[in-house]
Amino acid sequence: MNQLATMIQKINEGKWDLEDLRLSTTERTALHAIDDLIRLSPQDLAVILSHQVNPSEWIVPPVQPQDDLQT
Amino acid sequence: MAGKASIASECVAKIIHEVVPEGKYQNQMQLTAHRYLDQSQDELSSGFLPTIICSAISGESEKAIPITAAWQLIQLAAKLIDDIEDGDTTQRIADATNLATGFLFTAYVALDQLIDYGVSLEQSHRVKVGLNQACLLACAGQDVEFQARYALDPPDPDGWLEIARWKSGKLFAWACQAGGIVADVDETIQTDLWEYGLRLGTLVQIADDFNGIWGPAGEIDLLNGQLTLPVIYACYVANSMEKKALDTLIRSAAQGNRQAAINARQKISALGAQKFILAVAFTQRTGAIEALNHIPLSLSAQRRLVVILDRIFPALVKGGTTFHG
Repeated sequence: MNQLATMIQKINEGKWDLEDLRLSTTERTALHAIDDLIRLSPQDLAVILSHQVNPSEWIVPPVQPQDDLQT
Repeated sequence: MAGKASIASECVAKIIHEVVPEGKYQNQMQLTAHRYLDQSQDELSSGFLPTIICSAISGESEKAIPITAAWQLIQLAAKLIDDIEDGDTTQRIADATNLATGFLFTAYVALDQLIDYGVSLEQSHRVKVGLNQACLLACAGQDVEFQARYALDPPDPDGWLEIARWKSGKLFAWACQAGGIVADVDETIQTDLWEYGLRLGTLVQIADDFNGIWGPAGEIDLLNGQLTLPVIYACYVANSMEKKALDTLIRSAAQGNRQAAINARQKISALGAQKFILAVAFTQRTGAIEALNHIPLSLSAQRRLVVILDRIFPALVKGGTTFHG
């Protein structure tokens, strides 16, 4: 992941030739697959992703002392 | 599957009724579990992983019902504990702690019922040992994260991955592998199930970290001083000047300065953190699908497990990936 971070930094700085980057096959495949997304500006990407990443956690509703299963 | 979901919820309610003394505490546990599990009746919720896996492999899911009950109780306890640790609980801390402790013990009672569902002693033992190990790793991972948070000293991305696997990945791995154990699959398939769960749980953690900064609640993780993946990436790739400025903003945000949190988020975004999150999430999804491809599943069963993955990060599906069923 450290190497992937460094590569993303380079891409973010405008170095787009993925073939020149030293990546594992999995990382290279990942970057190719999401190439259209990582070319977007941070603002545009934020708008798209705001509806595309789902929270994993369910909310645990607080239980008050007066609550009862029958209510 | 909705019927099986309901059976798991009934299993939880029955255990609480049978083993927790009658009174206010039992009522609190029943009500909290009921409300929590009510949100997860969807047949493809990750809360039903053990029964989904068992059914996908063997065609029947009954043997995994106690594991699903335990898995849901563990998730509920973990959520309560997370809220306490992050200062997000809406209850008194003592009450929430005691409730979470009760759910942890109830999870272990649920696994004692495996024998009644026709699971062998040896399989039951392996499932219990696996849960113990996964829970202890989750605690250890949480501790590593706490120490980094207290010192405001972020690990590097590789360090984050290790913590995420301990905190979340291995619990999901247990849930998947346990479903396979009671379905009587061989060791190789158990390993693939473990790998699928590990990647799924890591993906969940990535999504949580994403939402903690760019989610509907705003920059909540920055205000809580949490060193999540976007922050870790930004600190790792920033040059010394950027890092100094970012560090100042992160420290100020952690003290409740909202404007500092907004400014920190902008800097983190400008450094490409969302792109990094996407790339990391994609590699986890790819690893999960590779593991699935090793498991002899029907196409429909495999698709169900892919849907569980893709519900976490729908953006990745638009990235054009395919899986090989």
